[in-house]
Amino acid sequence: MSGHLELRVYRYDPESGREPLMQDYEVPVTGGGMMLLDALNYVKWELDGTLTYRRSCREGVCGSDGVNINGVNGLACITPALGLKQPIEVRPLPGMRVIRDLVVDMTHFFEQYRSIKPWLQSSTPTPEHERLQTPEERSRLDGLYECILCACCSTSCPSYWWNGERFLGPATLLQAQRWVADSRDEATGERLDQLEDAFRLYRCHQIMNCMEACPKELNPTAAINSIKRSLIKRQA
Amino acid sequence: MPGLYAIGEAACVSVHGANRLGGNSLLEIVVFGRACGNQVMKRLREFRYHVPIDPDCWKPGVARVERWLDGGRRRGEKEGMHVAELRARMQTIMQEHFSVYRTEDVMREGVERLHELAGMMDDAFIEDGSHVFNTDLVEALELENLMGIARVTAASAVARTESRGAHAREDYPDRDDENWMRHSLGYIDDDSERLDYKPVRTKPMTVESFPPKARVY
Repeated sequence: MSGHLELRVYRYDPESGREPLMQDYEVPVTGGGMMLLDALNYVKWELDGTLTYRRSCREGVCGSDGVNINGVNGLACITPALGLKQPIEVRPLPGMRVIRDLVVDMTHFFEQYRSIKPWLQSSTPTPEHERLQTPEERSRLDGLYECILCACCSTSCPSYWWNGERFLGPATLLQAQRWVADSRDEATGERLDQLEDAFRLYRCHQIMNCMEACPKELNPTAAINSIKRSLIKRQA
Repeated sequence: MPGLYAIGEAACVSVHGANRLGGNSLLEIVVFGRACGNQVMKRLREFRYHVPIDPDCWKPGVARVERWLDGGRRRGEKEGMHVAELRARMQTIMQEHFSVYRTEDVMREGVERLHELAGMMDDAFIEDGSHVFNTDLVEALELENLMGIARVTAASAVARTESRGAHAREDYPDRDDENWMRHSLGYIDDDSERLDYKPVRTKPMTVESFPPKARVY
């Protein structure tokens, strides 16, 4: 492998007092399996130590390096660099307050996640061993439990851009459905009560950008529809 | 140090042996995390207030950070390596000298090379002088920690003349429970590595002890 990649990266340093700008870098191709994160790391480690981004596991598990790549949200670590149109434009996740360069403020996003009480709630006494599920019950969590909260979906959602203060957004709603669907959870009613709200849930208009953006190939729109169906079902 | 608690490998609770398998960390979290939390609660009931501390105790921590921020410069301006280059060299040494199969000579050379590299930490620098989300600084602090860990890992690996778990020596292929069934404790005093040992606890509190036996596949 030879040749170079052209990168155009969003830079913003709040201490400088200057407006954000796009900065160009040239990165050598190190191999066919090179990911966008490898290119960012090259910049940071070999060219410019001030470039700032989050990263950790470098294999699509931790959800730290969600960024906007040529206009599409994704994880830098599992996005092959060679297939991307150059110059590769890398920007922070859209609609979020930028702390610095590619780092956005995730506080509100995680507060919303916390608001759905993402843990098992039960009032029956704790059994001596595990709370068991049938394979069928367990399979209802497939497509939900895999979410790594990278925020690629929520920050691609126009409804979330407009009403992110009150609309929970696709990531948090998919997580909410993960607990509604859990056969061991005994707070389904309270969970649905909390979700039944014109803003928290019903700002989803099935635009489906979330599904397009999800690096784990999940379908938050489907999860949201499941919540809506559960709400309608219990009215009947 | 009273009031300082640890869980995980650092706590040396003797449950894993040398072959620390993936997923074992769950045991550390669930069992020892809880036990640790319970102990902390117990202690807090007895000691309701912080013990008085030296009013200057924050200074070394701040000095550690400011050394990097004050010494910040761009590449090529002066002697010394950017922390990323120093880290890459450290990784190479660990890979070449303390890899899967180990021998005395190769490891001794690695200890030397690491020692030399650690001496270059004083001249290492970062480029980012910002006080906002400075990941260059974070990587420098991590490198300080990693360098210490690499050095005591290297020193204890050379000293351990046996094979055990992930420590596989071609010159000492067998496990030696008589001499080496003990934890290695590593220190860095006055810039040199010092080793100490502590026994493996073989007597669980609530179940029968079971003697170690050969691990065969």
